[in-house]
Amino acid sequence: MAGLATYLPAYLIFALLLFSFGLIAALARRSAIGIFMGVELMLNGAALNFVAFQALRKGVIANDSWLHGHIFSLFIIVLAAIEAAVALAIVLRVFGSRQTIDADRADQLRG
Amino acid sequence: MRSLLGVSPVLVLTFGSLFILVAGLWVRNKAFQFWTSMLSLLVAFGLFLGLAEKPAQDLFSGMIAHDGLATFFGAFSVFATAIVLVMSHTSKEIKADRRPEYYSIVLALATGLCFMASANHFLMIYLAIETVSILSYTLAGFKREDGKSVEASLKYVVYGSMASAIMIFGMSLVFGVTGQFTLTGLREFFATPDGASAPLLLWVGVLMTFAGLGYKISAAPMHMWTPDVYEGAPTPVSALLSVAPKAAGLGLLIRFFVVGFGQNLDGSELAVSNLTDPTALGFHVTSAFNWTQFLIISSAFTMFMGNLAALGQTSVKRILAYSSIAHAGYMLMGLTTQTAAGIEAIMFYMVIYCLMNVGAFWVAGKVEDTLGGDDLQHFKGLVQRRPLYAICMAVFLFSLTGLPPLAGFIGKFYLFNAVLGREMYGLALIAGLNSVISLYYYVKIAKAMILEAPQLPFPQGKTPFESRSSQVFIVLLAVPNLILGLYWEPLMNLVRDMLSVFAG
Repeated sequence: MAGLATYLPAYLIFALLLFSFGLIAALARRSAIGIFMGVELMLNGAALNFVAFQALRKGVIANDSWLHGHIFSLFIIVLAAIEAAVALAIVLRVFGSRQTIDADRADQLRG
Repeated sequence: MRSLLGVSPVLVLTFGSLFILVAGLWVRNKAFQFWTSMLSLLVAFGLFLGLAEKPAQDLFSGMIAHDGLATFFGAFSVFATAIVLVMSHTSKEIKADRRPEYYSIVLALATGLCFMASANHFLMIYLAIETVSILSYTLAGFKREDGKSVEASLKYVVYGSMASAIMIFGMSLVFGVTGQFTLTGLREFFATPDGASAPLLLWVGVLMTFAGLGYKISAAPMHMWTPDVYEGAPTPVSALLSVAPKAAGLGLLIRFFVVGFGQNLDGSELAVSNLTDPTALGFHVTSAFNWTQFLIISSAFTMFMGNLAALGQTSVKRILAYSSIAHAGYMLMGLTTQTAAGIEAIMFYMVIYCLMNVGAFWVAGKVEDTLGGDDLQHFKGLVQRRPLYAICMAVFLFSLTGLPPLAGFIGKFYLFNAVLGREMYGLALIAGLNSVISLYYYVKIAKAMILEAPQLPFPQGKTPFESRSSQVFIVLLAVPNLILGLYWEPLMNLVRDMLSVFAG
């Protein structure tokens, strides 16, 4: 564990890359499933950030929040699963009503 | 035990939500489902009133705060949910066989709102916002056989999940720099030498977190989802989304800025408990980031985006959606002032905004139920058909514009007063200009209702307009708009009392 601080920049850069690729995918993808996969990547980037920062801070700060980062990342994973479940249910409904999950084709509401 | 007592309103709502979900399997009686959900909302509201007397304190080791702000916005969310529940009960858009699920989701949404109003820890903020968001996605698509409703729900979930991912990444950066998870801890961090020289990365993180919170109150440029969702969702759901999450989001934003970044104007540490001291409040402003300017731009931009986009619309629900964006801008103005007067004005305006906005959606919902649409042409000649609804709608619209002697005017008056008190003349001018722009589209609806001849055939016999409870409630929403325009002091005193008990 002691060596982790040395490698911290690598973890952070990796997390940032995950987040950026996720954002690009979410913005550029046309299929709704692709968009949610992008969002999933963004969330994983954030979760990795929490774990990396927490490992860096372990023992440095003397307060009671020394595990919060890890717990936070667990919550992110759980909520990502919930969000995916709801999002996929909605995508199914969209497919049922117009036989496509292309987000560009969702254009009934505009003005 | 003390903590459990502090969240007792939320516990009641949770049990209510689960009870209706299970009982709905056997009891198909509409009135039973409605009254049990109403009962749990009323009990929760009563518990909030009981808790209001308690001093400010941290609950669950600092995860959530119990104070006047939390009680006010929590009780207000429950109140708004209860009004919308009555609206849903009389609406045709929620199918009878889906009502148990509907009531259960709405009550669960209310629990999320109460937690949003009291969250003091990043994890709680995230959980509360996600609870509200995920349930809102399902509510927006509740008319699942209607393509528009499903599309609204898809757009909501796409924008919403991206906004929350950005927010959570921002929180991770804030945690990385400060090592703090609670808002209180963040404020303590700024008082240390490390806090004074915080790197730019921190402000990037704070800005990303702000984006997630701004999304909930539909502040520009995170407002794109609002018109589509409000137009496509069932009308009672649009009414709920336009009021309750916005109120809880503003409560959270106030706590985020005051507890997280509050600092006396001379730079010394702010004692949040003396918030009502008129000169006490000023946010932390670093050389790296100028919050005052940022908030001014954000508020002005939000007002313009809402009002200008509303001008060309013909769907009334869409106009109301844009108007709700504009109102988020007006309320952000109160935060811009960074004074207790500004925050009081937001809380005061929120109550009035709820009365007038839910009322306007109520009439739009009845028109949609009867005539099958919510375009301006459906509203034409409403005053000849159903004068009561047309007159109440006119009251709501003029109150939303902010014309005296209606309540909307007093609400705007307090906001403008707070802005002028900080000598932000430019912002006040922009807000004044925006009120004038908004007059155009509100009057457009009023003109269609009152001056123009009916265009579409009106169904014979009993229409949703004739529902007795609906008639009573529409009057109950319209009358306070008149009364609060003339005699508003009790409400203002209540808001002041609430704000004087602040934890953190």
